[in-house]
Amino acid sequence: MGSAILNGILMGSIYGLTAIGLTLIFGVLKVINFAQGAFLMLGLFSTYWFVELTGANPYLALIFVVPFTYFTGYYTQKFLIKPVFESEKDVREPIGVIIVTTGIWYMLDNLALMLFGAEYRTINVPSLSEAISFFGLYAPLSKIIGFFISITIAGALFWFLKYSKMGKAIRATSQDREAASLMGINQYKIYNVTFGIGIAICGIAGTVLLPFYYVYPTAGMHLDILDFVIVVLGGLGSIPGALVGGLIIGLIESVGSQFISYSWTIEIIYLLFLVILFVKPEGLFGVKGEF
Amino acid sequence: MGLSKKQIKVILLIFSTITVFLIPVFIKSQSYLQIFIVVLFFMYLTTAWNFVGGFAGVLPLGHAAFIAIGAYVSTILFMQYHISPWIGMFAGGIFSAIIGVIIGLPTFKLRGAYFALATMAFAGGIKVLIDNIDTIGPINVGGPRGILINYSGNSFVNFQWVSKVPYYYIILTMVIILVLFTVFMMKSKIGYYLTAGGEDPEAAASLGINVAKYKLIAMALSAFFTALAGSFYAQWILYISPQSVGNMNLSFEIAFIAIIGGRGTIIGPILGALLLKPLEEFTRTYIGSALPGAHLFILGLVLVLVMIYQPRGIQEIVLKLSRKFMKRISKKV
Amino acid sequence: MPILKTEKLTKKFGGLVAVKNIDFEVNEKEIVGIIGANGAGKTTLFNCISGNLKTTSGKVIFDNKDITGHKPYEIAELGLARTFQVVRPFANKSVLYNVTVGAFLRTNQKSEAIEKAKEIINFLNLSSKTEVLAKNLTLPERKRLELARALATSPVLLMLDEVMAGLRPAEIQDMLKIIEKINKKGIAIVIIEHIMQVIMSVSNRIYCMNFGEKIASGTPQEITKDKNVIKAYLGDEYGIPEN
Ligand SMILES: Nc1ncnc2c1ncn2[C@@H]1O[C@H](COP(=O)(O)OP(=O)(O)O)[C@@H](O)[C@H]1O
Ligand SMILES: [Mg+2]
Repeated sequence: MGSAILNGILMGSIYGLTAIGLTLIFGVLKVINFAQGAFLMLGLFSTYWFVELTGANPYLALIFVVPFTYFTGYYTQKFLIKPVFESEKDVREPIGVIIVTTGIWYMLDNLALMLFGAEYRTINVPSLSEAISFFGLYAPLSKIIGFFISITIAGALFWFLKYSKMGKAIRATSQDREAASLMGINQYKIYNVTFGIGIAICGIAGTVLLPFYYVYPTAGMHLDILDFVIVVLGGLGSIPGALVGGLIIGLIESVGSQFISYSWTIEIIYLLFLVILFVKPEGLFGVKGEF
Repeated sequence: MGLSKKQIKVILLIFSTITVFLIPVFIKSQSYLQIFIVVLFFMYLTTAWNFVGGFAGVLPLGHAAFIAIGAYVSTILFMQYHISPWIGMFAGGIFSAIIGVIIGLPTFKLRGAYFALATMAFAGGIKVLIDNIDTIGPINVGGPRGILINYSGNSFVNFQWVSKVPYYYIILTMVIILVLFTVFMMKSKIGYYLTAGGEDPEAAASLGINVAKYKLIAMALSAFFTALAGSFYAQWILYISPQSVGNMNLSFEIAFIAIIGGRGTIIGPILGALLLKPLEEFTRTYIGSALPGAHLFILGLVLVLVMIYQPRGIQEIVLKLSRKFMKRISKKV
Repeated sequence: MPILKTEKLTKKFGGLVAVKNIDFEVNEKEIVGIIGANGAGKTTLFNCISGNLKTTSGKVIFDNKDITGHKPYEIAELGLARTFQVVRPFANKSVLYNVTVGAFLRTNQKSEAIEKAKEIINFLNLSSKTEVLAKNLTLPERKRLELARALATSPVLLMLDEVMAGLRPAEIQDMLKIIEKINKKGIAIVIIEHIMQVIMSVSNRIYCMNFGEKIASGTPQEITKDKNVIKAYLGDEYGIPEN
């Protein structure tokens, strides 16, 4: 039981990391990126190929994965999402952007399928899968490292948004698009950067996950659904919310599977999701408003 | 003597109707006929989806759940209680409509993305549920293995035939009825109110429209008609499973095809299925083994391109072209 | 006899009191003006009456019924119609379609609804645009369409939010004539304007709002002499048009 809870917390924080990009992008663009899972898959695959081709330590892959996913995100927003965004500016129920991101999801997943085939791949780093003692309980080293990376990234992002110049501009844009552009902030530039950061975090999450996870073209799908639950649970747009949501989901998964089969825990997560959407759509940390 | 545009339209319509009815006479290959059935099947599904996704102006991403409900209800009634699938079909439709309303009541309060997420989670939940259950009391649901339907040879009552031709005519009839229904509905008060509520809920409410009520009507109708297709599918393929009738890709494909065709128009979803399904079958047969996923990649790509360059769907282009074409003929004739 | 009455109506947005303790009355068949600078709370008052916003406190009484907290569509059904300051036509539909949607409130018969819609389109001098898509109309035409659509619901009381803003002087005169014509049919009208002069001639009574509060009310003559009003409008005491 104790190690189930520990594993839930470790896994939960990593889930939280996978969801941070989603919540950040929503917070600023007010768009739910349905391709979130596909970008996580991109992070997993780019880590996988880096390790496979260089034989380096998986965490070293970050030096390649972060810029690669950042620019993928940046240009995806610039060339694919922005045009739809602009044409829908005056629409009251804009869903074109959701549709585009869903299309991107299909493109990425099936591109991976065409390039790499459907098989499950993993990297084998014995030293990382070794269970080590953590507060007297045992957990694999890779998850413990993942936990610390997740907390660090969340903290760093929080700091960046609060104190850096770009971070302040991002926050200004998220609070009031018009006011920010009056202050001379280029709204679409901010969107590109935000999207880039959001996707780069997916890349980092991919690197963190890979040592104990399989990668295959639809690897992101399961995480996709979990991430939606996590961000809605925590409150769309809230970064601490994403972490807390991640922890809750991680705990349900690992503690729940002590008592019921794994697929029933998934059912519980779906149910929880629907209940939150209906009863408290602003989530735990979100702002009450229009849903 | 020139023909008026209206006359040309009528002639074209009669001509294409006759062609469609004669297809099984000319196409003897069962596997080609199968493709035509698939196209019609998707035409039907996208048209039913369009009630909510087009006219009511929201984005439902869980319609596979209604297909699954229809398929499972009629199949369970047939296999365990020996009730004709024709009756089971309507039982499934009504059950599905009720579920549609129950799920619509809370979800229609949600905006854009939240609605899409809620319908996705609902369909995901239904699929996982069927995956996890083998029996409910005395009812055998089959779990992840699904249900194989007893095959009894040609029988109208059992909704089963050796040849694919009857299936072709049944789904064709279903498409025609559904399209006619849509045309009449959109020309009535319900259609006006639904469109108004979809375009601008607040302005519609100020004109006395109970927007939520009309969205619920649309949802009930959409769920009802979609479930009928589920029962049809079960009898046509004679095997159902959570993967084949409840899976998320199916929900998405229906939405994608309707959107690419042009959501919120009557012709859009029909055109979408007509153009995309054959393309998909083609890519699957010819490059599918070398490049699995190519057809879905193309679907995603077309969707993104359409959203960027042609947000009202390809129906706009097709209508423009056909207008030009009509002008030309009416001059010549 | 008042057809519409608000009692101590208050609306707060967080700390901001947009509408404060407003008592407001409209009698049958009357034309009432509401004036006040931008941000005075006029639109918010409308939104509270029409059910588009939840009131913080106070009451709205229409036709002797307490309609506080009722849904916008219920209020429209009772015969209280409104237009929006930022016009919101169903952009991809024709003028006829837009107005027919309004007309359907009192009938289920399509032919009847269309007939009535055409009548109203005629009445508002829009007949040459019947089949034009709403998004292709000019601003004055859109404003008239907005009015036509509301009128098609057969209201007892019509609330117009700045239907004359952005119009040229000649167009304003046209609009004023239309408003008087509607009123002659026995429909009570409330008009919001931030330029006082515009509605002087048509209003039976005028309310003046400033920072959410009612600072004066009375006949146009009384209002123009009111000290509070003059103070609020300092610099353009007769509300000289800004543009
Ligand atoms: N939905 C809202 N949320 C917050 N503040 C609002 C909202 N609507 C209006 N306000 C504020 O209430 C005040 C009154 O606005 P409004 O009623 O639109 O004024 P008017 O129509 O007289 O120009 C303004 O200060 C405005 O900023
Ligand atoms: Mg106003």
